[in-house]
Amino acid sequence: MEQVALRARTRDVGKGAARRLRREGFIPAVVYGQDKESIPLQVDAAEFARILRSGAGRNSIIRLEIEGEDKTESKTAMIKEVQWDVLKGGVLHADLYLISMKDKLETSVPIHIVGEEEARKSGGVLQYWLRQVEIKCLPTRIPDFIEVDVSNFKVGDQLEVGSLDLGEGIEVLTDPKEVIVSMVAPKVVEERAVEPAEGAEGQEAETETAAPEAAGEDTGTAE
Amino acid sequence: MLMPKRVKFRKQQRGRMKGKATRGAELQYGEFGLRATEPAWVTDRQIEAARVALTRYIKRGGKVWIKIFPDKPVTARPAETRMGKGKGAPEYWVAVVKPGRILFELSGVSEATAREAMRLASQKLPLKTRFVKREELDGGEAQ
Repeated sequence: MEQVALRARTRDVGKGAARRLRREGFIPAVVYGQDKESIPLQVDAAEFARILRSGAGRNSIIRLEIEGEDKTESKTAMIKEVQWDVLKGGVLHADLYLISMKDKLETSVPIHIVGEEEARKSGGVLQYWLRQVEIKCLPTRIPDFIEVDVSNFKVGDQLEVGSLDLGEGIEVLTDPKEVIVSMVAPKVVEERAVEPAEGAEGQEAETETAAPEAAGEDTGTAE
Repeated sequence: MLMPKRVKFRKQQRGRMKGKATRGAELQYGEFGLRATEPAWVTDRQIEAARVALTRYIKRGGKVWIKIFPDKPVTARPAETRMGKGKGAPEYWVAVVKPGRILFELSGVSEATAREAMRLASQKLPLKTRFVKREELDGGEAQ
């Protein structure tokens, strides 16, 4: 896996300084790890977005060039966490984690599902249960993504983590029995000629009420 | 209609809707979602109407998740009554929605179907919304 360069500069901390940086096209970031003191940084927003959009995305190995007041330091890091602005969509803050190219590390790799169109022709509905898999390997062995082909799927089929073949040197940490994708029979809507009474609905597409986080208690399903 | 099975207190104060949603602001289950861009109280009836619009449009296939739950009771005074005599009786339930909150999630349908279904659902809601979809780009969603 190739390394991508990212220029960074040390910054002032605090929300006023951070907001100023964002207005000027930078992202406040922080780098830590390898038992080193954490360093608050600023990185160029466009450069950082380019790394996130690259093939490896979150798992890119970054050659961080930190410009200090008197010297420039070079460090190898990966993206640990990204905070997003949920309304505007931009990156608010990034955590970078120092890594050693000789030590194995734990990370998650996205799953790319191919052949969905062919699979849907069989009449079933694909259900995605897992979108990424936790792995442990050397930084150079991290795959950009794991491709899963579902084109031959029929109703009742499912693919588990244990059936993934990631090659040598990559240990899968996710439970091998966890299902990645499955295909179920669709539920059909019964259209009624007369509008039903309020609250009384026919069989429709599967609906689920996600447990409200604020209430913190099980609320059951909608139907 | 969605409502809590049991509550500790029958009546609540109104509260405020300051700030953005910090929880429930990312797509969790589905491929597509409907995100609130302004704060509002969404009533149980509005949630149900939106759900019906959504599921009717997608007809078969697909899975819908309702990501908000009306757990706040709203009281109202009977018509033509004088002021005083205490707080009114609980009338309906609302979900307090802050900007950024994902209201519905949807999967198992094409993007065009999802967009139209979410547009129809959005018309039943008292707030402005935006369609979002999951993208490979980490936890971020394409707008």
